[in-house]
Amino acid sequence: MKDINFINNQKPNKEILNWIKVSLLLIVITICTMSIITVKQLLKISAIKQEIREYTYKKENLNDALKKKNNLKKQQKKLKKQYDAINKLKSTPKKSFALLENIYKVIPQNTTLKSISITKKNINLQVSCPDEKIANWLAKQISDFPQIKNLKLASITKSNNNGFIFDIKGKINKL
Amino acid sequence: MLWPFEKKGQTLLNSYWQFLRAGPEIISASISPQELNLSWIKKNKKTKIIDIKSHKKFLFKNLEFEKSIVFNPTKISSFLKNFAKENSIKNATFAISICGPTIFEKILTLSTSTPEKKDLNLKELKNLKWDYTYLGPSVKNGFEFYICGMKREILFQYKLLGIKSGIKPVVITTAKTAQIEFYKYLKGENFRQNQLVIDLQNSNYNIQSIFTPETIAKKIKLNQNIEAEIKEDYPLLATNIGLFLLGNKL
Repeated sequence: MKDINFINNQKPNKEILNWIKVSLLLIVITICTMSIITVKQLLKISAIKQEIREYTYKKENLNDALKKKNNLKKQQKKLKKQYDAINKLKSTPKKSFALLENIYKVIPQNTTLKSISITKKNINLQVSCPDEKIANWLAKQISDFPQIKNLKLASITKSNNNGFIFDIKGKINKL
Repeated sequence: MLWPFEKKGQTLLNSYWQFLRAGPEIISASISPQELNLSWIKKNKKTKIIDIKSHKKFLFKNLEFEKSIVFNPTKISSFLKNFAKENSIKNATFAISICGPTIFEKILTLSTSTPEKKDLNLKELKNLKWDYTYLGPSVKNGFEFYICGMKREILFQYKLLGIKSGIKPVVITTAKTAQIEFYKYLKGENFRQNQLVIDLQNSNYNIQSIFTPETIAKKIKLNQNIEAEIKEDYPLLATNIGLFLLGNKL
């Protein structure tokens, strides 16, 4: 049998209980939602942190590699310089040889080149020739070379075979 | 000063918890154009005996409730408030039964036991707030239904009365509904709907006449102070107990 009641009011205590139930339900839902959101964010943060850790590790490696690369580059440059210098030295014959060759070409038939010494700054020649004129001429010829300057007859010594030995000294301009 | 739910000698939390568990006190009020009967009833949970704590009758001498219309809500609400105050009832609600010319009531015999609302569409029910309940199989043929309704504005008056008195109404029904509820309580496990129909027919649908003071007295416990006062109002007490039972069901 159905009870007839023209109003559908609830008792105050039941209203309060319902209110408490709804409030609790809402609180639980809110807490659940908040925790889901927070957990999601925490997971995201941890993933980002992990990523950062990986990147920092990679970056450290990269820095090391970059340092190594720079060092190697420097070393390569240095080596290249050395290699170039060696090659240059290898490819270009000594200029002194050229000078010697030129000097040798200038020497006339009755004149003998007894010795020659070329240092960085000085040049000394010892020439055996019949007279002073030839020696002067030779000195003048040699002093015309651009590598040599201030070439002068330094001494005359009489040789055994009716000639003279002249010491000619000068300064090297630039080889 | 005590908090709304606080009781003397108890902590506020304890009082509040007790209120949540036991619920508010129900003041049963049966109102008719002649009088207002108020009862404060309690039920022992173990023995299930109904204890009438207090009962008071107020007569309407100045057309306060003429033709079941509340003409003097101040006075009626003051009756309610004073009754609650006299008996120091805190957090009370009230269950009210109304009888009078503004209430429409009818016993209807239908061919089906499960009718739809449109099957009960009576002319008189237009513009009324109405409801029905199945009583039982008819002695002749068909099934008997009790239909009742009241004007919406009258219903609204009682809601306003509740607001004015500060006591919330939980049940607003007809006296007959409350009496049927009391009949069910009297019969207990032996309640049968066909017996109810037979009893109703025998009493010419005046269910109040079924309840004798002796039958009511068997099921209730009365305070000695109010026993003398109640003697004449035994049938009305049945209505109030029915209201209390209806309110307790909520």
